Amino acid sequence: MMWHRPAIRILLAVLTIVLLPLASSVAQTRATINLVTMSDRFSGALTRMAPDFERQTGIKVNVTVQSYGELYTRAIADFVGRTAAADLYTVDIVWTGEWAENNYLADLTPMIQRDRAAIAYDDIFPSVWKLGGWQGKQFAFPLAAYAGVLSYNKKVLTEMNVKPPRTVTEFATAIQKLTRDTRYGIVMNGARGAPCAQDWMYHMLIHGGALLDKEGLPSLNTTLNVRALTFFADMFKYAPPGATSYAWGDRELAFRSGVAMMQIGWSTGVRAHRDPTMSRVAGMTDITTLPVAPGAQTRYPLGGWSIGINRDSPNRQAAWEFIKWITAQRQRPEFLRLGGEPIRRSETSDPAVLNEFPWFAMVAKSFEHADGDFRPRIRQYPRIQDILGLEVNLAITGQKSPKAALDEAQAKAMQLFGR
Amino acid sequence: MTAKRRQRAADAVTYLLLALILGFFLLPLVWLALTSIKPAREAFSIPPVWISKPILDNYRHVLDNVPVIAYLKNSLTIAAGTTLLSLALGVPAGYCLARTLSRAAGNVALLMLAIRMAPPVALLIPFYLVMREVGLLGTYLAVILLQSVFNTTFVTWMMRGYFLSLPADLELAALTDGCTRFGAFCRVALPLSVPGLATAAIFTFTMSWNDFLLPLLLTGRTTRTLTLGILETMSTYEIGWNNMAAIGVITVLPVLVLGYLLQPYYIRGLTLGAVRE
Amino acid sequence: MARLIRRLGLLPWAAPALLFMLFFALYPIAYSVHISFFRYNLTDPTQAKVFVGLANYLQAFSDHTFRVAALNSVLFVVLAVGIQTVLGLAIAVMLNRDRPGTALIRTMLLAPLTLTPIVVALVWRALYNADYGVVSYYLKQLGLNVGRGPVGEPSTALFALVVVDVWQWTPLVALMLLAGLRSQSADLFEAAQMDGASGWQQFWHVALPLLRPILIVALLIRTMDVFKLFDSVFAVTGGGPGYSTEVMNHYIFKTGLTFFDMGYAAAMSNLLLVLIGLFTAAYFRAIGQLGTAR
Repeated sequence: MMWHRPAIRILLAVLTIVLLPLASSVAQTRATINLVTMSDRFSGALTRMAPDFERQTGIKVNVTVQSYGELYTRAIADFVGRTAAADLYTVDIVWTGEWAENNYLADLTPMIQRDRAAIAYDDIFPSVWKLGGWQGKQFAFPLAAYAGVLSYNKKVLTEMNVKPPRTVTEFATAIQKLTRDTRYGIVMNGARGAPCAQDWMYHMLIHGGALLDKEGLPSLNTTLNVRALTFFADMFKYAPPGATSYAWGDRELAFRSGVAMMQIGWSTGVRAHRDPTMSRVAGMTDITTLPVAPGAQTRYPLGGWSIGINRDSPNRQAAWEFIKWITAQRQRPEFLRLGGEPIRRSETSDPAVLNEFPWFAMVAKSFEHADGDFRPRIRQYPRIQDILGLEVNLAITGQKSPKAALDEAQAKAMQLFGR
Repeated sequence: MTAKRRQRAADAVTYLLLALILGFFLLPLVWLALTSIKPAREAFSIPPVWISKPILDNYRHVLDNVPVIAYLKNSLTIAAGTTLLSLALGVPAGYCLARTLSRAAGNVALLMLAIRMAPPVALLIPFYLVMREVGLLGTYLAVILLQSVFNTTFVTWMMRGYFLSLPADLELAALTDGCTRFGAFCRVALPLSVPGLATAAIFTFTMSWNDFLLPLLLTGRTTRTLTLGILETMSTYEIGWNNMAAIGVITVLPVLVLGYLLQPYYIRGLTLGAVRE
Repeated sequence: MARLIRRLGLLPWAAPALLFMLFFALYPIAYSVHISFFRYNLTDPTQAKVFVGLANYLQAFSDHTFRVAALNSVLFVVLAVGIQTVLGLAIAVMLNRDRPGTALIRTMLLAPLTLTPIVVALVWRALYNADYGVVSYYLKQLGLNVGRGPVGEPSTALFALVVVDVWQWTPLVALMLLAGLRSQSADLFEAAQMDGASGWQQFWHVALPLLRPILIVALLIRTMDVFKLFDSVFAVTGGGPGYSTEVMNHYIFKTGLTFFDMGYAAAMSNLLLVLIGLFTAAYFRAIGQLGTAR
């Protein structure tokens, strides 16, 4: 890889002169930081609030919105190429281990300790620190936390005399009872990849299963997990027929359009359920905790996004200033109003906030007990999820039995651990 | 009489088939255009609502939430850069291959075709590593260079076909008049080949504009193209088909209009290099 | 010197293009061959390159996903190119006779091939949606059971993506063949007619053989491009359901540019290159035979 450099440089120099006006885009001014965010709802809040931050501090924040797959690919490309294309990245909770162990992100722990009072550390839900927290250090700062909740169409459930299910058995009965003609009891993500893998993990959780054993090695094909996948695959009979190719947006649309009566999903979707310009079921829905298998405990899944600093960023200080600002108590009501999700106790107990977002009370309760590790945040998670994304999809489309699918997934996952 | 009747029947069948085919080819276009001016709630009614009161909210939403103008500029810059570079490299090469009847020229032509058939992803991976070494990731140049690899081979082959269709006598006359090869090319061949150049330019521009895979990895924050902007409207939780349709219309409109304005050249380009093998 | 230049003829004119290809195409390909012999994972914290010989190639042959992807790619090419040829030929023949309105139809057919493929893919994804999609709705109205939808059923998903490719690129084949038909002189057909040949016989014995060179070029272009299929798989199915629509280009992209397993991805992309090369060589043989036959 060494010999070609001078020659390529010369050729590039010639080309650069020819195309000089085109290549001039890399020039940057000092007080500018680049933020790449996932295209979740909160991205709108980041985009709209960045100018306020610039007005107050003189630091310009360029916000680029990217879809999930693109963000992951580009972020890793940026980290391994050490190109510092962005100073700040939003970090999915499940990427925490990989990004922390590979040192992609700057360790924020010293700065958090230093500014502990200013950031009102204790006001943030303890469980929420799992967003970006890894083995005692904080590699990214919680930005928008999601609670996994059961959403249901209250109006139809009441009409049908179905109570919101408390147990897995009640859940199955309710799903079947609610399904009639073109109305479906439930909707789930079935698309190959992250969508079906992550939605199956909710079901794994409520059945009392886990992805790793006590030694931290994959345990994908345990009896409980197979039972959960069997249940998951069965329930697609009571979901809209296209659900096996659904991703989050399609699933939410099915619920919002009144086609499906229940779904398990992140609390960030609730806002749109209640918005009459987008939803046909506005005012008819409610949320509750997830049902639970006999003998298992009620579980409160935690997901969401943190915000971290690229370790190669030349603008660490400015980037930290932005993190502190966007997560500060002062900014939070505006952040929530523009599409953000809470991380602080003060946000979810403020009467003005609760008046606008009444479901935050339940979200807060969930955060108090939250489990941020049901999807293990380890370095190998993205590969495990990819493996499950294929095998779960094979099971729900009837191409493999749940047992065979999880056996295969387990074998492939063990290879990631050198077993 | 029967022949005439049979002809009429054949015409009727042909028209019916053509109508079916046209319907198939126009349906997605019509859907795209209509969805872009429909309210979000109607985008997915069952049974489908084809005509509703047109609104421009989706376009407003897209313009407010996606930096469409900046992306337009980036797409334009990259497409223009690729077109210029591919023509600058490909036209002389095509001329050379058309006017040289040696085995070497034949091999060059084959080499160009071999590169044309390489899947972008095969070049993209090593190219990405090289661009990373020389610090050009995220610049317009990185995308332009790799797109030009594929488009230069295309321009070379197309222009070879075009120059072959021009009689060489005029250039020979110019040469005997004391012109250099270059002079003969500039004064005689080039002016005659303007339609061919136009064809090569539209094709290259369109291919570059429509590209998704190379910009996906090689562009940076300031150089993102419209094709990437489309996915930004598809937020995880709110699949905005109507917003996607709006930015989709904005994306396809320039190349669609270009294609129709320059239709004769476009159709000509389809056959160049094919008719004269 | 002057003699040398004369002997080289115009070859120096191709030098800039060749030099460019050397740096930006041949060098990357050579580099890709080089790293295909290494285990080289960029997400590995050390980013160490370990020489593994042919292990990456052997892995590809024993990798179930890769084998399915290779098979799907070939199936995709055969189906898409086959349908495009037959349909394109039919459209070209129908448009060849000047009837009122054919010029307008020809113009309209231009639209699909100028459209941005990622937009096309997303539009079809919406149309195919089993629950709200227009295509699924009308198929249901016709009394067909669409099940999980055209791209949701493992048995139809690949074919549904073939339809997207057919939609976008049949006009290209049709317009190419139409131009070829137009360039055929009418005398030949008159002669055939005098010999008492029917319309069908004229087409089969006169027009089609003359069309063969263009037909082969059209097939060649489409074959090369269908092997490069990426946008519609990426945006519509992600390779699913199961492996149904996993094609080589998409699998290589995921391996190399999502999980950054560079050595393995390079090995697979070299195998893809060989596969495309085999197809191209077959076409060239066809063209070559054509040359000697003439």
